[in-house]
Formats: sequence, structure tokens, C-alpha cells
Amino acid sequence: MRVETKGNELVITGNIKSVEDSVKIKESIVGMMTQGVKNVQLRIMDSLLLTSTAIGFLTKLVHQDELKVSITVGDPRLYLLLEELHLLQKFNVRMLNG
Amino acid sequence: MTSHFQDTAKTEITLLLVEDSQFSREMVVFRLKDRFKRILVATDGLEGLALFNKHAPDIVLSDHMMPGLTGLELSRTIRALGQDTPILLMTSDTTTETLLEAINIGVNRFIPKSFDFEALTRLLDDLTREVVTKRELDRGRLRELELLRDRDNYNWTQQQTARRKERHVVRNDLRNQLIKGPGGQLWGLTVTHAPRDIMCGDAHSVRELFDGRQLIFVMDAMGSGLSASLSALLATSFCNYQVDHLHLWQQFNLQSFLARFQEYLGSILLEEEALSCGFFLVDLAGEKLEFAVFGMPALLVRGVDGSVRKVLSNNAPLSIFSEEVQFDSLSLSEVADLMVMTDGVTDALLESGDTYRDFLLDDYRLVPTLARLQQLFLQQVMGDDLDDFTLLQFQRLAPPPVWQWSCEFCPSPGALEIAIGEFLQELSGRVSLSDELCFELITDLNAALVAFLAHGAGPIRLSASLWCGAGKPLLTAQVADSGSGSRADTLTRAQAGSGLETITHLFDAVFTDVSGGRLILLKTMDV
Repeated sequence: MRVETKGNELVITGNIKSVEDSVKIKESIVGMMTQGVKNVQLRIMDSLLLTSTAIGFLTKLVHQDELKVSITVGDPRLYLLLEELHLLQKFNVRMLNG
Repeated sequence: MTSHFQDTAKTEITLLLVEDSQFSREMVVFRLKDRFKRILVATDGLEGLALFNKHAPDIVLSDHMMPGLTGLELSRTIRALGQDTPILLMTSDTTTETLLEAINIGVNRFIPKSFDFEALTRLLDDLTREVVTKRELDRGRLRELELLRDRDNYNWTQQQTARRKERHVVRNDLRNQLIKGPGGQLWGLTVTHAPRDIMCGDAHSVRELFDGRQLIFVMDAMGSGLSASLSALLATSFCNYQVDHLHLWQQFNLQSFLARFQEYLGSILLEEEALSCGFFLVDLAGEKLEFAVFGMPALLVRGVDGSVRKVLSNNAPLSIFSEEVQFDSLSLSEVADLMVMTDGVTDALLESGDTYRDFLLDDYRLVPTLARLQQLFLQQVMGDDLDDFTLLQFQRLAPPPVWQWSCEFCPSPGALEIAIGEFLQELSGRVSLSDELCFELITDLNAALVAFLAHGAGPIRLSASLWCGAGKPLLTAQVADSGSGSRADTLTRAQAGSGLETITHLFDAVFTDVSGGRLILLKTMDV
């Protein structure tokens, strides 16, 4: 998995699966926050999964740090997963070409 | 010599002195007697070898030119025995040939005769230091091994205790038990809890409430390892505790139950932790299932007509940040079964790089039981990468059949054979049975009936039905008698290898009455 930061956007390519992946995402977002970003946009290009650790961290961002989190997903299967987990609204999820 | 080596030599090191000259012997012993624990004295090489074999000294100090066995010959023999005891050779023959031979044999040090005692003690100090160091290293290694062994024992004991604790918390009050609904409806509940480690992030509990309803909760703590297992076990324990004290509540409802649970969760979760979980309140009298599901894979629901639908979580995963909880309910009147699972099932990776989520629905449509769905799941996923998983199926045990049959007989081996034969004949009129399936049914039913009869009495009623709501038909066989039969708890506690225990492996699921007297066996038919 690779992450690339562009302003308030975090572009993630590859499958998000391991603890290391979650840590990488977390560190990137914390880095963006220290630069004053209040609106984080995650572009998850092709992952089928989002780890529970990442979900826990994003939940904390929304509720405690009052950050606006938006996720754009490239693979419809991840969209369905987030729908199953009842996270579409919380993380403002939409399809990349939707 | 440092005082440490000196002290050790005085208390632990034995020197073997081999010297044919009495004067030299006495001089050496006199000068060295206080430096070693013990000095063994030999007057020639042969005696020296005998003492070496008998006492296994720590250092050998030997003259070379001696009658019987020279110092070099003694050294060669010691090395030939595989002993690496340090040897200090005293010799007046300092020719290159002798020294080379000594080196090749493995003599550690030389001292030319005649020597001054300072030089001798210096060389002996060197050898003593080597011996003491090696001995301490060996002791260290031994201690380490003992420590590892102790730690292994300790860890093993800890793991067994943790496993017992987990089993104590993760419970199923309704294991193998028939659950009775209105109008003689029967339901059964099956759970597979497959932890990757002894303590895992998945936990569940199936509880019979004081008012006849059933409460099921399934937890999947986010993250991994001990932290996740702690969250799951604490959360499950709290729910169990609440259930144990429900009779004290004036009016039990899922809303109040969850309000208390959320409050508790707020005190145990860390700020970045979340808990996926599901709470299902089964009210068979009202034919209703009330639920609140928090960030779990979709609930799969199959109708008695075979239609399958997904019911999505109605809440996001729980965290310390409390939100209003959404409760929903679904009617059970037309439900054949429902399947609850954790993401260890849906997110399991396949070799193709896909997840099992993509195949789950098709597999669920194909097979009517948890046992067979689990089999299909395990055949497809990559075993090494498997996470903890939980699968739970709540199913109607007598959905509208496409075929049914029954007979009554008095127990005897002959009657049993006739009944099973008649059953197979009737069944083969409805579905095509291969020889292999026929044989399997005969042996499995025989085993079940024999195990049942061992606890029963009086005339036996054997009935069977076939339901075709899934891709593969589900055979339900029911055995009833007027005796005590096989109670659910005897089945649950049946010893490995016993008749009752065996039948739990022969069928997809086995259920019995609390009071005994009725046994229901489910089997997916591979036709």
C-alpha cells in the first residue's frame, strides 16, 4: 500500500490490510492536521478493505477532533463494505466515478 | 589471577599432576596446594591416565619424559577419549618436532624444564581462567534453558487459564437445544467460534432470558491481539452480567440494555478504538427479531421460500463517542434461517486477491446449514491468512417440506434396519440418491438411533422431511420416544468418542429437547 499527500487529500493505492497500512494512513493524516488541515479527503483508489484500526482512528477524527472526513473509493466493493458497516454517512463516502 | 578466578579455583578446580620425579612432585604440590580445591598426584603416565578416567580433573599438568606412558602419549590418549581438558606439558625436550607433535595432539600449553614457579603459576592461571569461563558459560546456558523451560511452562499454564476464562465468558446457553416457538415450531441455534489465538477479538453469548425470549450478542473488537480480546471479553462479560440480573429489572427492553452497555463501553475503550457488535432479541411468541447492529457484515436472511436478502447494520461501530442507537425489527414468520458473522468471514482473502464477501451470498444460497457454509468458506480462503471468525445461524427446524415421511417401531436391531430401509426407499422416490449417499445415510442414522436408544425407552417415532429452500436440499430427521432420550446437556457434555459425541460430527447440526425424548438431525443432501 502507498500513500501520497496532496494538500488536504490523501491518495491511497493498494490494498489496506495490515497494521502497518493503518499506521501509515494515521501518520499521514496527523501530519496533515499539524499543517492546519480541517477537512481530510481520502481517495482510496483500489483497496477492497479498510482496517478496523483505520475506522477507529477516523471515527475519533470526526467526533473528537471535529475534522470533516470524506472518502472517495475506486472499487465498488469497498463502497459496499462501508455501506454494510453503516459508515457511508459518517465518512461522507462516495464512489470515485459516481 | 583475579580474585574471582582464584576463589573459583580454590573451591571448584581439580588439578591432575603427573610427574615421575618425586622431588618435582613434592615441590609442585607444595607450591600449588593452596591454589586448587584438590591436586591428584600420579607417579607415571599410566597412573595418570587411570586417575584421569576415574576423577575427570579440570586441568592436567604432566611431565613428558616418563616411564610407561610419556606425557605426549598420555595427552593423545586423553584427546582420543574426546576430552578437551586443558593440558599443560612440562618438558625438557623442546625440539620443534616434539612441540609440533604436541600441538597436533592438542596440548594447550608447554613449559620447559626446569622452570621457575612464577612462569608455571602464570600458565596455570591462564588455563584456570579458561576453565572457569567455560564452566560459567555452560552454567549460564543451562540456567537460560531452565528459564526458558520455566517460561514455557508458565506461558502454557497462562494460556490454558486464559482459554478456560474465554470459554467461561463466551457461552451458548442453547447449544444443541431445541427452541420452541408458538404452534409447535422448533428452532435451533448453531455457532462456530474460530479464534486464531487463544484470546481473540471475537466473542459472543447466547442467552435464554427469564421471559422465554433469547438474547444473542456477537462482538468483534477492532484491532488485533490482546487489546482486542480484552475489549471483546470485557464487553461480553458485561452483557452476561446484565442478563444474569435481568430478573431485577421491572421491564426488560433492548434499548435500556444497550444504553447501559454504551455507558460501560465508554469506560473501557480507548479513544481510537471501536467495537463492531450485534444485539439480537428473539421473540418467537411474537415471531419477531429486534436488533441493533453496529458496523458488522450484513445479516443474511433466508425466507422459507428460499429467497435471500441482506440486512445491513443499522449503526456504525460503537466507540466512546456515543450516538443515538437505531433499533429495527424483522418478522420471523416467513424466515427459514438467518446468519450472523464477523468480518473474519467476509474479509478473508482468497488466492485470487478477492475477499470471501464476493462469494458469500452464492454459497449461502447453495447450502442450508452453517456447517456446510463453513466448509465452503474454508475450502476457498487462504488458511495462513485467516483471521478470527464467528458464524452464527438461527434456523427454523421444520420449514415447509417438499417431502415428509414417518414410522413408528419398537426398538430392536431388526426393527431399526427395517425403518431405515423404508425411509431410504421413500426418500429415493423424491430425490436421486447415489450409492455413496445411501450408505452414508444408513450408517449415520444407525449411529444416531443407537446413541439415542441408549438413553430412551418405549416405541420410537422416526420421521423425516426434506426442504428445498437452498440449492442443496436439507434433510431433517427426527427421533422421538417416551423415554428420557438424549438431553441437550448430555449431548453438549458427551465425551469424545462416545455415541452422542460421534453423531454431532456425522450431521450438520444436532438438537435435542431440554427434557430429552426428542432428537433432531440436520443434513445437507449432496444430490
